[in-house]
Amino acid sequence: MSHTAENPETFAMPNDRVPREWSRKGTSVSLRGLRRQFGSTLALSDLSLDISPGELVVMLGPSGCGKTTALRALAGLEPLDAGSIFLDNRDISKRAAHKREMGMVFQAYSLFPNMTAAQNVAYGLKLRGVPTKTIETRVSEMLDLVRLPTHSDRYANELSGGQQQRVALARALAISPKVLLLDEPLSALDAKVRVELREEIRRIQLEFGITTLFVTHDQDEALAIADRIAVLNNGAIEQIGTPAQVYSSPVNSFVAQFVGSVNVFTEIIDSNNAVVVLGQRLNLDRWSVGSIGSKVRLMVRPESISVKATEDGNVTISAVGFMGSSLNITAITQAGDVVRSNVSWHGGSDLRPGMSAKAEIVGPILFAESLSS
Amino acid sequence: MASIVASETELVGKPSIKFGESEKMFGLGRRFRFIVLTLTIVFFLIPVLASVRYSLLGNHNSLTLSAYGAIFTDPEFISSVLVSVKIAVGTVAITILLVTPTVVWVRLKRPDLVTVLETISLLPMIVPAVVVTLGVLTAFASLPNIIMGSPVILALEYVVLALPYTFRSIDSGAGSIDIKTLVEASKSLGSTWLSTMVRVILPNLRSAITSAIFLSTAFVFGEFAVASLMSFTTFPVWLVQVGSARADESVALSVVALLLTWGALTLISIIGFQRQKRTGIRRSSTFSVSIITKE
Repeated sequence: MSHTAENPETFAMPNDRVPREWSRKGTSVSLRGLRRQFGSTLALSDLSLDISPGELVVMLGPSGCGKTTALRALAGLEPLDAGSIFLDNRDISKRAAHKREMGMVFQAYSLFPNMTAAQNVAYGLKLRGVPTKTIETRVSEMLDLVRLPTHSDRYANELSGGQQQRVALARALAISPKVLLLDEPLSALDAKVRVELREEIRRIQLEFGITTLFVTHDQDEALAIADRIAVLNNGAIEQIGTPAQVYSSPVNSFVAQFVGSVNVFTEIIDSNNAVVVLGQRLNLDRWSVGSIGSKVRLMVRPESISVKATEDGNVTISAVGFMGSSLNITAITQAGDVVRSNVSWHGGSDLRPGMSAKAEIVGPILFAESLSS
Repeated sequence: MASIVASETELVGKPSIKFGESEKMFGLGRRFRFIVLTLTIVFFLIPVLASVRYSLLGNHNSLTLSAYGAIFTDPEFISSVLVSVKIAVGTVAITILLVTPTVVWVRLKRPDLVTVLETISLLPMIVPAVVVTLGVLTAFASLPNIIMGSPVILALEYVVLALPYTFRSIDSGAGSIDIKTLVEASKSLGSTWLSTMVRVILPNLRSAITSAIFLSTAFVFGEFAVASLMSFTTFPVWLVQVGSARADESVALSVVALLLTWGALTLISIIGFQRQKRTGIRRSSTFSVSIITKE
């Protein structure tokens, strides 16, 4: 069910990542045809995914898309109706959760309230009968790793949300798991801590070279830390690829609209296999989306549209949102369509609501699809 | 004592203050609260003080501890307390072993059944005790005589009758922690079911279970009707017997029983509070404790 991006037209991304050679320390994970049904809802529909050793794959999708079910199935916390899970080519589908050797970080409130931070981290090691001296060393190593060396005696309720998740991460890693599973670990935190912690997670993940599956509904999070992103919808993977591939070459309109924001234009193809958008003729040769006279839907990223103030423009600016480093411009065309643009702060500092402006498509068409069946 | 706290909470919870007159009304509210609180304290303390005085009264208004001496040297006292202790131990053991896993399982696997369980747990309060007693007797009629003829059957009765208090106590403790996530976190770290229960769930339910233990014990040491009906001389039954023959000893006994209960409740509050201070595990039973002391 998974697709790789085939779209050759990818516009240059400053943070484009080429998949690196994965650390050989890690374990490979393979999900094969996972299927899980809750009543009449199909949570997982023949989902297959391969994760290379040491790779960080983010499962991204709207709520109810099956991403958490997939992660829980991998952890052994959710039974499967069909499908197999392989770890280093060994089938572990029937193995109980406590024997799967996976470290898991939950959304929130997963620290044992009756134990201190150090006792939480030591928990998995104690269960494995590790000698007390070794446990002590390991616990202090782990708390150092998550930058909480002085918090070992604190109980969960004496730690902030971010600190609790750091301890949860230390606890998950202490047992040297084969795979690290992160189930929306940052969603309960405030914006600043979320960004800090996701960078920490990535740093630690790279340091350990541990195969990681990270589940989130936050596209910024996914784009920022993933080696590859698997975009899920209705229990199946719509697309899997590097953040740059998923962002700039979506394979369908769901991925295009879910990852990042888009402008959607519905136009009719003219005799030269082109459409006219914002007064510009755009060639559709690269997109096989129908014949002359048929309707086509085009998607264009806000950053691919420039807006410049001018007397006789094609749009009227209706709102200017200050985003810090950039501006989100909302404009209305003469036909009444809404156009959204993202311009640099310097480039758009003279734009004010009510002004006439010229909107122009300066980047590629992100995705085009035929509307006539 | 607990009733006083309840009254105070109720007044704080429903202030009769109108907007615009808050300052004036607030002063009046405070005075009103003080009066009600004083009246309540007087209402509860007078009988206690009167009992203490009466139990200490000797001939010609002299003070004496003879009533207390008499009860502690009475062989019936020891044997009735012993019977009640045995029943209490049995009731506590069965309750904890039955209710704790049930609550954990339901909260974990069938959270939709929590309300159903809550309703069932309240039935002994709605159904008359005699009906429950007969029901339990009928249900266990086939058990051998060693159970039916011994205080064990009374323990079985009390497990059911004390359920409204014990279930609520354990269930509210379980409701205050995220059992599902804790169990899953424990399993993912390599723990078995048993180990998870012992190392994670039970320690986090400790104060709730302690409350349930105290509540069951208090119930056993306070229940008269069923024990008398089934012809067992438990502590409360003996208390009534003594009361009909020797009034001063009966009152002295009531005072002792009252002090013991208060002592136990204070202990549970201290233990719970100290624990709560650091771990933040919510103590679950203040409300349930207030119910039993009203009984």
